[in-house]
Amino acid sequence: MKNPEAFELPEHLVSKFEEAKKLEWITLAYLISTIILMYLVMGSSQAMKTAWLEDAMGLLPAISFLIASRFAYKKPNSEFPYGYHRAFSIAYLAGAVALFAMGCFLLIDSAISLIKAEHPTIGTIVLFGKQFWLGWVMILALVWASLPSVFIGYKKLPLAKKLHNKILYTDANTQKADYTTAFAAMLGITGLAFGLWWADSAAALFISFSVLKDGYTNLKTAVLDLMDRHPVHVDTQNNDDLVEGIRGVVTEWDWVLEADVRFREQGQVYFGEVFIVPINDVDITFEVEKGLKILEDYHWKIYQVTIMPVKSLSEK
Amino acid sequence: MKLKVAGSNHLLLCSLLLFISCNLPKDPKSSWEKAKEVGLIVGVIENPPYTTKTENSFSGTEIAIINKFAKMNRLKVIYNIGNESDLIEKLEKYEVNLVIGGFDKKSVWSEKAGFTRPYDKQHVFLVPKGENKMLVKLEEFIYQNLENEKS
Repeated sequence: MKNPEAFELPEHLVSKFEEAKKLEWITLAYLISTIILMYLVMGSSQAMKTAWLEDAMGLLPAISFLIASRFAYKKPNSEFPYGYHRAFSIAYLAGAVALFAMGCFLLIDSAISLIKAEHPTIGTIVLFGKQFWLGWVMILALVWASLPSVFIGYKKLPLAKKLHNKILYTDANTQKADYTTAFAAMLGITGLAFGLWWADSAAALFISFSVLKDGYTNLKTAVLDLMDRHPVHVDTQNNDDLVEGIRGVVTEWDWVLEADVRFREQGQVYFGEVFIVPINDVDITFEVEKGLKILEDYHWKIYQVTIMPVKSLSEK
Repeated sequence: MKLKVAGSNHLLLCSLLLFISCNLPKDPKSSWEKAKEVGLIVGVIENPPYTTKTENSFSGTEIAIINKFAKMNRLKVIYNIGNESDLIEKLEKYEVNLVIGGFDKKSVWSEKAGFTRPYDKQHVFLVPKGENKMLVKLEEFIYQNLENEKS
């Protein structure tokens, strides 16, 4: 089989991909501003510390996406004959591991602060020559940490689905849900203002749960993909019908007696094999070449296919 | 006309915020309220020139600050002299409202006590952990009366 050309997205998706890259750069700049702001005002609040670390972890998907997008479309070569599509999967796994580990740490850290009944001491800050309780400033910082985030998340979500990109999808989805953690932290600090010392740690505990849950879901998805499971949709995690579609197309061919297909995800695209039991008296090489061309044009996600003529299909 | 409405809304919001920020944060252990009732209980570690004990009176720069703070807030002050670890323990149990004695802002007690902002860029008072109203009252006093003199 010939070495495939460097992978190119279909025309209508190229602009989407560029848009996604732009949005991730914006995300990066925005998150950095949030992280600096939150660090400056977090004081000794456990909820703020947790929300801050959560935001810092939010940098990972954006960075992994931007790094992976530099490699993923490089031409296959003798050293990497299948191309670089897995760059996305690897970046995704790395991000998921980090998120999961951070979730564990935050959960333990927040639980300890709750058990030890730590009373967060929060003083005042002078801004523009006026003195404020730092707690109010924290709440303002949390507003900045949540509203734009939800907006950017909603912008990225449809792009992620169209591009079949898991990092982008997870990133968008977490950002979209960011207001819940910010809101929890706000409640925690408002609780503190009313003299409820435990509100802060309780909010932190809630946020760590959400980080841990995200970490776990991502880790599971990343591992399952690297285990070459049946391709699934990024949003619903249901099997992608494309595979069944190809089975349908192939069995329709008049030289095919029986056929079986299998595909796996390599980042945004699918690699796979088609096993065919041909009828007698057929120009196999000619038909295979023709078949490959048809499958290549079937959908942009179907990227590398091998058609393998066999005598009979093995039992599953 | 519209402007006027917007203006009055603005005023309402401002006064609401002002109201909230005057009464909050509260103290989980009501240190400030108790200090108003029975007096401000101050743990003193003797450390001249900040705190000095003579026969039956206290003096020193920090004692003077606390006296001024108490006068402005119409609080009675009760000084308790003691050693550092005993007083910190009392602070942790919310039995004293304040510990003074020339503590540095980098003091090792940050795990066990809350610090006020430094009143002279270096020295702090120790407050019970989480008693945020007490802390805010002190810091307001420090900001309005002391910090500006030095800078």
